[in-house]
Amino acid sequence: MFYGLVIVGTVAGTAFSAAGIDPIKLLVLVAVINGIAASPFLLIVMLVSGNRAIMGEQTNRRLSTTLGWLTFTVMAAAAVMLALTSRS
Amino acid sequence: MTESAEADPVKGSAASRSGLSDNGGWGRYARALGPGLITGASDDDPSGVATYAQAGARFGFGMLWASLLTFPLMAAVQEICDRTALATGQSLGGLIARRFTHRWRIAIGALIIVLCGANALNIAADLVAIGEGMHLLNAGPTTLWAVIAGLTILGLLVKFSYQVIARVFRLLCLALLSSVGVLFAVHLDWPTVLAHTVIPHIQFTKGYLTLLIAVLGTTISPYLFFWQTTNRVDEMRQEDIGGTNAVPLRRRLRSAAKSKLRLSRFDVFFGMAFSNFVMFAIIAATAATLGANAPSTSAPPPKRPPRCVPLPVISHRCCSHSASSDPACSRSRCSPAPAPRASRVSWANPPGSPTASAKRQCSTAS
Repeated sequence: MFYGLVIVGTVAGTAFSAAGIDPIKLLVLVAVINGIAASPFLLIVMLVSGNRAIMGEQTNRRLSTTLGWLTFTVMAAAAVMLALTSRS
Repeated sequence: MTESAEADPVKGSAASRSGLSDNGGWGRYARALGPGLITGASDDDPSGVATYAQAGARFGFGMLWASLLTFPLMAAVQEICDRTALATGQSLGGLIARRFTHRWRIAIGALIIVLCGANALNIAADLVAIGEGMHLLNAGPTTLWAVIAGLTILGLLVKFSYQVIARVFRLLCLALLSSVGVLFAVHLDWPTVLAHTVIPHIQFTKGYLTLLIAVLGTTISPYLFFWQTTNRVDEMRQEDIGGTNAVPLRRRLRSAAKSKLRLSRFDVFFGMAFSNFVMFAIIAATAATLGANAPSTSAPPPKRPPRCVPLPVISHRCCSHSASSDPACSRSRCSPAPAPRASRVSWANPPGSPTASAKRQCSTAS
């Protein structure tokens, strides 16, 4: 799986560099995609880590729960704000 | 599985006894540095470095606050991920399969495929960046070096185990400290830097928000959640309890579990503090060199200043959202049609800061 990603990446990287694409723009684009994808994955992490059947004694306590959901809110809010400004 | 579960408490007690014997020694904490530190360093990958550098170059100290704000958030999230691995001995992928029903797993699988696509794109961009870096050093064409780098990494992956490569990468973490060195090599107006770190500023423009979500997204990246858990499970497998199994904390003696949890937390928090300190250093250093239009002394890895679109007329709208990055407003990167709701919020420039003159110039905008 990981090898596959590296192989695809190498082929694509070669193509991009031959096409003269600005790597910095590409890297920032990847960062934007990660930022948009962060909130659904944070949701998943919070649902797993707050589940007592899975986590037992190590289930999130108050501080982790608060900061975790706060992070989810911040990332979701940033994505929504970006969507709103891009639309107009 | 049951065999090891029965054998563990015995071995666990031996481990905890040896743990107690050197209790209080800092050596235990130093040895505990591993998955957390590596994850923290992976956070400052080329995508991170490029994004932070763009933030510094385009908006000066204007996004420095993000490096402080993301620290508690990122540390909490990575600690949570780490704890899921400690509690279960499983990585996040396995836990998703346990937690969610079939229908949800399909949706999550689709999300993971998107994430893999983004990561393949990330690898591609990294390789182009390496090629470009070598090209800037006059070592040859970009494409050639991109291919060489890709094939070398593939070769290393095939030939050596992950452990060997991880050990090398841990040493390479030190290279990230070069950006901290730059911080001390360039002249920085520390009171301004601190003010911008502590007081958040947001500009509601597309350019600023796009880069802000990039900064947030490259710091709190989904792949790091997975990375943290797999690194921790690998580390647990190598512990001298439970053979090659990762023994969950609930199957360990209470004191041993507590000690493991404490050391792991220290590792994660140290790694995230390191990561965010490097982030702070990159933004501040590029802001002081490229961002302020100052003659660049020595910037970390070759980065190009933003491509600028010179504007024939300096409009107030232009000034209102780009004054931060550039005093003259002439090489600003205003999009031809800036968002109509462009406005600035609490832009507190202490007098004497590089942007103060720009602020005066554009004072009518606020």
